[in-house]
Amino acid sequence: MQGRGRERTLLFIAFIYTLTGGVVLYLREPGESRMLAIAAAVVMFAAFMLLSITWQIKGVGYDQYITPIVSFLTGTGMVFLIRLKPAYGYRQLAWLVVGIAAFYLTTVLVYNYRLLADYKYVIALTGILALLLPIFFGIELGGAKSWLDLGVFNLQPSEFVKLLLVLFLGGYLVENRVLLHSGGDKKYFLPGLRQWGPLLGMWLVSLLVLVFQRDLGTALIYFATFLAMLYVATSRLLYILAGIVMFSIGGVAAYMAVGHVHTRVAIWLNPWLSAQGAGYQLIQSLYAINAGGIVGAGLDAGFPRFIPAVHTDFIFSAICEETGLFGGVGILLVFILLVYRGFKIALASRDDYSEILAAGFTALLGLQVFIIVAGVTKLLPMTGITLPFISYGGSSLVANFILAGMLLNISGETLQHEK
Amino acid sequence: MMLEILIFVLRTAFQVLIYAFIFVVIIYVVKDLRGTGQVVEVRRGQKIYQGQCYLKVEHAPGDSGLAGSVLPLGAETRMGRNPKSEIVLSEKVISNNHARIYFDQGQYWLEDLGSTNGTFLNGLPLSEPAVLANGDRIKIGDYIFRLVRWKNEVESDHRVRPGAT
Repeated sequence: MQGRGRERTLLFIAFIYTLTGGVVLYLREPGESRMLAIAAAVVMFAAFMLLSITWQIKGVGYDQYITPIVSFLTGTGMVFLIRLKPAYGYRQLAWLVVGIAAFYLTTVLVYNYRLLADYKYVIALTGILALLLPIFFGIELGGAKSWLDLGVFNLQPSEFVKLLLVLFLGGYLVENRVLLHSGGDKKYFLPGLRQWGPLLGMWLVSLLVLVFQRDLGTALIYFATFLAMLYVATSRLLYILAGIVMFSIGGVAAYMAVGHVHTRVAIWLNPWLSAQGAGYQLIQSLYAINAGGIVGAGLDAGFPRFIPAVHTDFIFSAICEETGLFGGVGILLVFILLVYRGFKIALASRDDYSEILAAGFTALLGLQVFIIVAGVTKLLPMTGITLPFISYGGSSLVANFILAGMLLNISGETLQHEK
Repeated sequence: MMLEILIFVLRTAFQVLIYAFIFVVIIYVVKDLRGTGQVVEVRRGQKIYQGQCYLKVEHAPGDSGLAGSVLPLGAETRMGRNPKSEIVLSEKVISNNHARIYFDQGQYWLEDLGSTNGTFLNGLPLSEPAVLANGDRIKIGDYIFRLVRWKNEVESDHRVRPGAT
């Protein structure tokens, strides 16, 4: 039996961290809604400790860092959400409980994840259907038409389609690895249409998402994840170059044809032209990051509420304002550690499918962080996606918990073989 | 006033804890890395490099269910019909204790244990223990194994080494 002491030590530090944040919020403004951050800290600590002990008794060799890192990031998210929009606290806490349940269920039910490789076309079909639904029945929030109104809550299917995409591509790439890899050592080998097919298909799907749902960020993530997985499977730069060229063509076409995309790029190039209009959000974000300086204004001492949508897309700006460069870099480092563990799991895995799957999930997560942080700091045009585990958003939180659960599944398999 | 000092302390603690968390994770991760590739103690007191080598089953009789599987190598891996062997090969032309692969002086060695029908290394019958290299093909009865060092599946040149005459 393998000890999981490290996991519990780290969970404890994450708990103390979230608790400290929660106590600051409560002392500043005692009230019921401000208690929620403390509640979240306790709920997460109890649930994850229980899971850690269960895993130790069962003797599964899951990675010991994923759970604490996820707990740390989610704790950060809860503290800042309750500081920014206390009204959303209850909802997010409910989603957190659902997320932890989904996390646990993923490790229990999908333990035999290799079977999923046989159902790749079913998965692909489900994914495409889930993407199409909002186009016909969806509602529009924040410029992107990608939500389904389910009465009690709104669901964003594209968050879950990301996971289906990785599962499908994993199965597909393993099956066609040899074909895609053919051509031996020739550097400029061009495979036939059968190999180009999926590349074209993915390009089209990304463009459809872009045009019909006007969801720039999701389209970018789909395509970039696809390229990353293709590279892991074939280690061929040619595919990546071809992909980038194709995406650029698609991007330019979208820039010309879709007004939404055009606006975003214009804001990125010069937000000051529309400082009171479309550029207001980005300018406020930059002001907030600047106001934070090196050490930040202190938790609950800044004025990040000037930024519209600060609790979802722009939460990173609020973190930067209140904890400064210090805290912002810290959060990014935690994400880097998560990505490091993900790739480590991919490298240690014993078969191609697990390797591609772990690398795909990790790339998905890392790219998401990169794209949104680049967006709020004006490195790239702003695309409305969530910061994993931190932003407000139920679909995103649950989907990311499932992703973390899948990484644990793959790591458990690996370590058990090594014993 | 007291409250403000307390809040200030807690705020600072909140930020410091971000780095405390990162610091502890990095300490653990570095410890993990130090552990990789180091010599570890395994059964029979022999030392081997962890997770360095495995046998890939390239061909096996249809009913054995072994075809395509991957068998990690330990300090000593015995092969034969004997159910106590690490790799049990149930075929009539294979002896009870047919051959073994063992780790010695930093290398894996293949030795024929006086089998009736012989052990073949890269197509040649084995007469004395021979050092195994990545990509070597071992034939026992109808089974064909290939030695793979880590994941580095490079074709080796099938040179004849001492022992395979």
